[in-house]
Amino acid sequence: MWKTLAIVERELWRLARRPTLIVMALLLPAIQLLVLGYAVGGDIPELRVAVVGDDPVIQLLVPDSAEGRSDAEALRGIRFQSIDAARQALLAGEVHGVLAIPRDLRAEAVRIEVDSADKFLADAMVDRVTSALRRYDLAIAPELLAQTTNLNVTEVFGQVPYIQYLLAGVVSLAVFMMSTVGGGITFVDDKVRGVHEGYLVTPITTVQLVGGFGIAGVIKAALAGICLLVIGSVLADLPSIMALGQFLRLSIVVAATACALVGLTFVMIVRAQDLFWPRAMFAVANTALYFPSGALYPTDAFPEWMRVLSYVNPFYYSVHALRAVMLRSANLWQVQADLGALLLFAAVAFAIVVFAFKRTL
Amino acid sequence: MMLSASVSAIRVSHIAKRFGKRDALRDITFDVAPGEVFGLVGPNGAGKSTLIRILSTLVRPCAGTAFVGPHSVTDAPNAVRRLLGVVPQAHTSDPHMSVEENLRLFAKLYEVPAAKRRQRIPEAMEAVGVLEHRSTPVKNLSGGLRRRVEIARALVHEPAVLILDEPTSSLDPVSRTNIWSVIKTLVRDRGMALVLATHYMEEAESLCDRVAILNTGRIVALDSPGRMKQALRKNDVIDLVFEEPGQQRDWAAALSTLPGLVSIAQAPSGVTIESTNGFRTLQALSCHVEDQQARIASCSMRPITLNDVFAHYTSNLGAKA
Repeated sequence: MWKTLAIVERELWRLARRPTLIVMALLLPAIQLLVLGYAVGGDIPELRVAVVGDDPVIQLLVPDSAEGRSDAEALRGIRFQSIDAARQALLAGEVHGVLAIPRDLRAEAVRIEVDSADKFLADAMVDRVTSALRRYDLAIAPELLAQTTNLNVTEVFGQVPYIQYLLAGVVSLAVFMMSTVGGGITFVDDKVRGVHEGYLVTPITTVQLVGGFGIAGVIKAALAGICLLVIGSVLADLPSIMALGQFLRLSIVVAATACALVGLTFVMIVRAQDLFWPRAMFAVANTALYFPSGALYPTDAFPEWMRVLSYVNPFYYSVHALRAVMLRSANLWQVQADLGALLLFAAVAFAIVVFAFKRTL
Repeated sequence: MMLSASVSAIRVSHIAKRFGKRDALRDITFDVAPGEVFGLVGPNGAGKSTLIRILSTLVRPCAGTAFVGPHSVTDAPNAVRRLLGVVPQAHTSDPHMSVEENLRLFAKLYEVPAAKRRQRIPEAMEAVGVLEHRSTPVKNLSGGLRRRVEIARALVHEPAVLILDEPTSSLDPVSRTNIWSVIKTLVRDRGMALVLATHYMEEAESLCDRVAILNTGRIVALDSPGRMKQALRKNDVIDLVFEEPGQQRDWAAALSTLPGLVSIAQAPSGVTIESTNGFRTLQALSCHVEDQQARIASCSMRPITLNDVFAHYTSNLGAKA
């Protein structure tokens, strides 16, 4: 035990003497939180639609189009005399869609042509025009209101901007970055420099050695995750996660994440003899594990095979648990399955590392 | 930790090691007595480091047995590690930690109790002359001081056997002499067995009670430096130095026909010729130089040294008589 603690102490001293490691581990996730958080998932303030057709209907459908903007639906109508001219504007990227309004709405359907090269804008355009049509129907026939089934939406956890949705993912990413930069790469660097040879001639067992590196790695990675929680609470304007109870619960999930991701990192580098392999592997792992974890986009939208893969991805459980605690104020009992999966993953990973660790050169 | 005088400090019997198709070690057998300084010398690639690594439990042999004290390196590696202090060829101290922190870490890894750590760490630093640098990060020390730190680190658990793998390679002559002085003091004061791998003959001659010369994975000679020189004393040594370096290979064929020739070894700017009759060889050599109108800087005959013994057993320029 004392030998394991000696390795832990040495690793933590090194981290304390090289604080740049912490900065490096936090930089990418923090930038991702800022850039993606503010760039993705925001409302599109104005969609430009080319409108061709009957004047009175246009006035009702896209009100204020003469002034160029419908504030209610953020749909800005631009009048065109012909459908061909409107399509030219669409091809030129001047408008996001072409709305063709027939003379008789009862006899003919309203047609919309959207810029399908951009799925996000196209979907938003269809949503807004559908809303405009419903508003139009209600304007010309108010009696419809009585026959319409209305939907009242309650946002149970308040309005969650994308940057807050993203925070769980970037905290997991910070843990992974520290596992790789401060754990895996440092470990292989020591191996390449011959520092490990010094340990291997001492009477320390494989389990004690792996345990020392593992515990130190988990402490470093968990510290990085907790640092990002603090930074993220400010960047994402989510002060509630700093409340003592929630912060403790999040710290426990971060620690479980660190166990799993440090284990994963050491599985990847336990037999590495140079730095090329871990660097390449970590880049691949980042893409292969982080992106399909639900960190950026819900896994429910993934194809079936990808969802199955996410069940063996520790990032998935980490993101799921962190998000539940952050945004839904879940307690540990409610995320026990995620915690169990992370700890099981860690146990299997460290068992593999102990088995694969070479006590000889 | 002392070994009883009845047990060999190291006992190696018919050790062999292969890396792929290459034999790194073949049928190596020797003993080291407690308190003895044993040298392993040989050219690069002779197998010294592989043998050191087998003894340090870092490499498993393919055949044969090796014991440190009563423990087998393959069957009881942790017991062997407790008896050994190892200074590997590479710098294995943590460069970001201070001298004292490095020693403290290794004292813990060697299970030295806290009270003894407080006593032994300053002692080890004192023994190798780095006490005044105790708080300096290792990365800020010179190569010679770093090497001393490595030695101090190997001493904190008071090992019965100290293994040094080329402790003075890449050091300047002054640092090298300082390390020799440290090693001599340790051997005198602590009485531990010491295995020293080196390719500096003067180092082996100065420090070792016995020397094993390794060449291409075999022990080709094993005795005290004095007796090795004695065995070849009947021969003479001629140093031939060329005006322009790099001509050794060109001369090898011509020199191989010299009378009395035993061996020819490459020297930094010429060749070293071992002969059963130095005067006859020198005479023939002078004629050859004159015939060829060759430009040589010097040609001299001198008594044999351990370097010549080494050359005798490891030379690959000329056939042995």
